[in-house]
Amino acid sequence: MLGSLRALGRRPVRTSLTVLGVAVGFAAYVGISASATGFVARFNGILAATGAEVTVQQAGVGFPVLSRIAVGDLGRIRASARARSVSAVVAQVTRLTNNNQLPVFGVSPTDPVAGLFLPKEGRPLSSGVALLGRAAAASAGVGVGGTIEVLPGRRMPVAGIYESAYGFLDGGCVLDLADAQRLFEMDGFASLVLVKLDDPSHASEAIAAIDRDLPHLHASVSELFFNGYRELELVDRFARFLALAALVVSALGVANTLGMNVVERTQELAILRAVGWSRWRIAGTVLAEGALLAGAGALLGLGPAWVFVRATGAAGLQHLAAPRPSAEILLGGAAIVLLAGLAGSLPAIGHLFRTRPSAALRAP
Amino acid sequence: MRAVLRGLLRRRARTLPAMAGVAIGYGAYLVLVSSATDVSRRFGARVASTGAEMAVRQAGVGMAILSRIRAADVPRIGEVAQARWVSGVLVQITRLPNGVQMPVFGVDPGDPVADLFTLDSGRRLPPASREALLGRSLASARGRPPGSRIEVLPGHAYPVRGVFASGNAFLDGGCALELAEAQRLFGMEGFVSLVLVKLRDPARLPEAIAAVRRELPHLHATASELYFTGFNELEAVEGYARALGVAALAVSVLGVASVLARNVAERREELAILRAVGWSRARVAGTVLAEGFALAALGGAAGLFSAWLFLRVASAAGLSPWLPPEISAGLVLEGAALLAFSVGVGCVPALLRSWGTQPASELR
Repeated sequence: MLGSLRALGRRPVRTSLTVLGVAVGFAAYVGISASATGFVARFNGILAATGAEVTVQQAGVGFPVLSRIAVGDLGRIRASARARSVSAVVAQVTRLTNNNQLPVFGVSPTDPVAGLFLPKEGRPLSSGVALLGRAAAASAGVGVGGTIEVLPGRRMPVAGIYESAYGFLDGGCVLDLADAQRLFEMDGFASLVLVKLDDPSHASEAIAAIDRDLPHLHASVSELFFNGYRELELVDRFARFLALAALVVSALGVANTLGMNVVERTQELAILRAVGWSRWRIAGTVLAEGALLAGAGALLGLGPAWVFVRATGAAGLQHLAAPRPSAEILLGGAAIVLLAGLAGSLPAIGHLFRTRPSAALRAP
Repeated sequence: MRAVLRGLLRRRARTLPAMAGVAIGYGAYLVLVSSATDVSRRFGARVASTGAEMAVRQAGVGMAILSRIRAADVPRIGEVAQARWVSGVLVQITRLPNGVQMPVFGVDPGDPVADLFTLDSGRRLPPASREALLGRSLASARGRPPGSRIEVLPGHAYPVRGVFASGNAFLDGGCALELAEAQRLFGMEGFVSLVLVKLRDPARLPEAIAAVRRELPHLHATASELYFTGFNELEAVEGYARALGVAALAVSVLGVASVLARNVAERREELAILRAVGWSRARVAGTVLAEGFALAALGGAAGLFSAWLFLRVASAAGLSPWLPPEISAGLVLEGAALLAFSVGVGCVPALLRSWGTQPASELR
């Protein structure tokens, strides 16, 4: 390892450029992954976090915010699904005066789903007030005791601030269900119905019963609700493709650097072979160089990646981006960068294996 | 130039990865920026293509699709704006069984805006019709010619009366119903989503916008082509894509810088001879720059082709409403200028090295 470090240190310009390239690639990978991939999983996660096993929306609508379920259907959903409880939720999206989107939820304060919006500051949800997510409060520049204009001309006092690991919730606002229904002219309607079952293992039977008895509605397992949203899947694939492209370019840089290093050191490596080092041992030092370049690049890329994700939130996408890169993304990115670094070593190792010590030592 | 190309080809193992890096970087820049740039203008162009100078939606909604304007407000808008005609249009999005979104438009067949749905086959919608017109791409993707039926919402199938070809990808991927029928279907009786206004005197557009905003403050009036401006998330996506594109270019240029630095290091003696036979420092530096720009040009050409191919494939895969069908010449030039600038900066280490070449000491 020390030898690999020394070899890299001998060419500081080349090494720095490569590490910089890997760092930018890693930052791009983490930034893209945190903000533009995993929409389906993140939105599904919100519904799963409500504790309801089944989620119901109007059948055939393009987005949940377009769904309208008559409140009169709640009793029938409960009976069909043999549910322990059903919760009506209004979900809409408005726009702050600074033109950032503001997701708005309407829930009954006594409903278990209100547990998602427990305030860190201020009072719990009640009629006539709003609770803001931390990111929404920052975006609107409002705190407890202030007011928020949920729709033009419709100001509500901010009673509390809640925090959520889900950007869509943290960048949003919650109102009492009846207030939200009035505000959005949805009296007698909900956007979604969350169904808590007595026996969670009966979710598929409950879904089949709702779909059969109430064909104008569409029920699905909460944690799979957004599966099949083609546009979300396409964005996800596109982003993953871009993220990988960034890493491929980084790997090309590593391959280039290692290739040059090995070519330059052909005679030195031939001497090592001549004094008894095996090919594999020498290949190990090249692999170590690749891993070091990749590791250093990933470490250096952590800062820019963090800035990238924060900038995404600050740019008005706080409700769509993950509030911070998950450990899974960071570790996944580091693992892929490392693999890319090792893959980048392969052409150099190939050259190494093709070169015979006797020929290399005869070279001028 | 031939010597430059020969020099690059001599080190194919080094040149090709660097060129591939530039191709990926430049291609990614073109795809990202062309997809995300002017999204609001491109979407606005769809509204402007109706021929109306002004468009009105509900103020404060987070998504244009969530706008609800009382039908009673439509003639009032016409009066306030001194319009030649006003059209209330309903826009909703449903989801086909395969998970793909389907825009649905509700229009009054007697309105001028109905002319947008230029018939390709079949017949126009008569007043009070309970039939549908399908966009050409939707009809062809779903195999629904005139005479067949389309299920707009589950349990609500309509006979297909005709197929239209508007030339607008968003419209052509959707379906049009008679306004009253669409209002019934989506529970929006007495509401429209969007009001299009054709002015008697188009030069009075700013006054008309100001008048609507003053007299009907619950509505938001804009010039048609600016209908989607001020949606921060669209503008943030543009900034985000540009940042990613520049990062991709930067990583690829680091590869070029590394290759050039290495090439110069290897050719110190050759460059010293050139200096010794009378070449000026600037002329030697020119060959180094030429190598850098030749690498960038070859990689850039490959990147341009890849980006063009990617957009064609994406368009064929049904992403066309969101992706531009082609890359503008302006963007190609902008990317090329950025690439050239980055390569110029990337050449600096190699140039410094070549500049510092001392013929006497190198030749010793």
